[in-house]
Amino acid sequence: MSNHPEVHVHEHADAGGLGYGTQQSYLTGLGLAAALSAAALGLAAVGSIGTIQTTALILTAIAIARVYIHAVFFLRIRSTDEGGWTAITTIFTLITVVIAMVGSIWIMLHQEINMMPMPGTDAFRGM
Amino acid sequence: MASTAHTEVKGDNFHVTEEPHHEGHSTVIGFWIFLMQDMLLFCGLFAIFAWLGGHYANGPAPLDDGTGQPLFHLTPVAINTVIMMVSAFTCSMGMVNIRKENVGAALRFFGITALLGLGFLFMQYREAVNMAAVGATIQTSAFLASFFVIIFTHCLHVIAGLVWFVVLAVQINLHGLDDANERRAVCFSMFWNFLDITWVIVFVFVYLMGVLK
Repeated sequence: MSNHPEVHVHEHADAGGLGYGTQQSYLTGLGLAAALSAAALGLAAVGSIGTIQTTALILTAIAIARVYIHAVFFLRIRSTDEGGWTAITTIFTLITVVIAMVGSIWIMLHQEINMMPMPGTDAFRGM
Repeated sequence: MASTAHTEVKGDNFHVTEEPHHEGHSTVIGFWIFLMQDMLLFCGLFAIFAWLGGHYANGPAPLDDGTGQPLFHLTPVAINTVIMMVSAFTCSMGMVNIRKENVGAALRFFGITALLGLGFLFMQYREAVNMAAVGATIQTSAFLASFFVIIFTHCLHVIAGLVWFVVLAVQINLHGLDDANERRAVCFSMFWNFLDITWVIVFVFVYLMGVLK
């Protein structure tokens, strides 16, 4: 057991790490998360500022910031956890997510543009 | 992991020496990898919604349910966001008390988390019923099909979290706060935080972006 102090929950206690934040970090995280969520909600309730694209970009930035705050203040992910394996799996997942999201949206929207409008679809109404 | 075994050369034979590991040494990293693949599941659903989210089939749309009223009401969505955010906090506070070996307080915080989870499920149920009342069901359009699949998948995760809380509470009552139960609590806390992260993405990309005009 003493050969693996980095994975033993008791010995991690004061070192932070996955699932081990402090009350202070949780309160900071809650405050920041509440502020960002309120900002996003206010933005959507107004309708949009500028164009829809600008507002959507701002909302995306808020969502990314919110997830980052959660990872840092609540989950306490550090690049050194588990000998770096948490960081590696997270980066791998993020790369896969970006490829899957961007790729799917790109392909499907192009496919959509090249489709013939059919009766009953929204595109047909514009014909 | 590559470091769990190493080879030794003895004479002409290669021996693989197994090093002893204490139980549960890889639970946290294993559970983290599970959460990452769960994120890929949601990523697939969001990619589908990004494509189909605008296909209303002349039926209900986020800003117009067919009667001139919006289909997405921001007040219940905001309440759910607050519920998930606060429950992630109470769950984390439960972990603070687990670390202090303060079992009673930890279970109370986890209990509040589970009650908030129940409240969340109730709000989601009400939303689905209200939507069905204006003819917006999973069978109505591609938009609503992809929307409800995301919502149901997230609710299934919340239900799994509630079952986990009950099992954890029973285990802690039976065996006290031993190493195994402490690991289960860490994983429960990671899982519940993951639910909140997923909900933030649903909140912004499905609801808020749906009501922009």
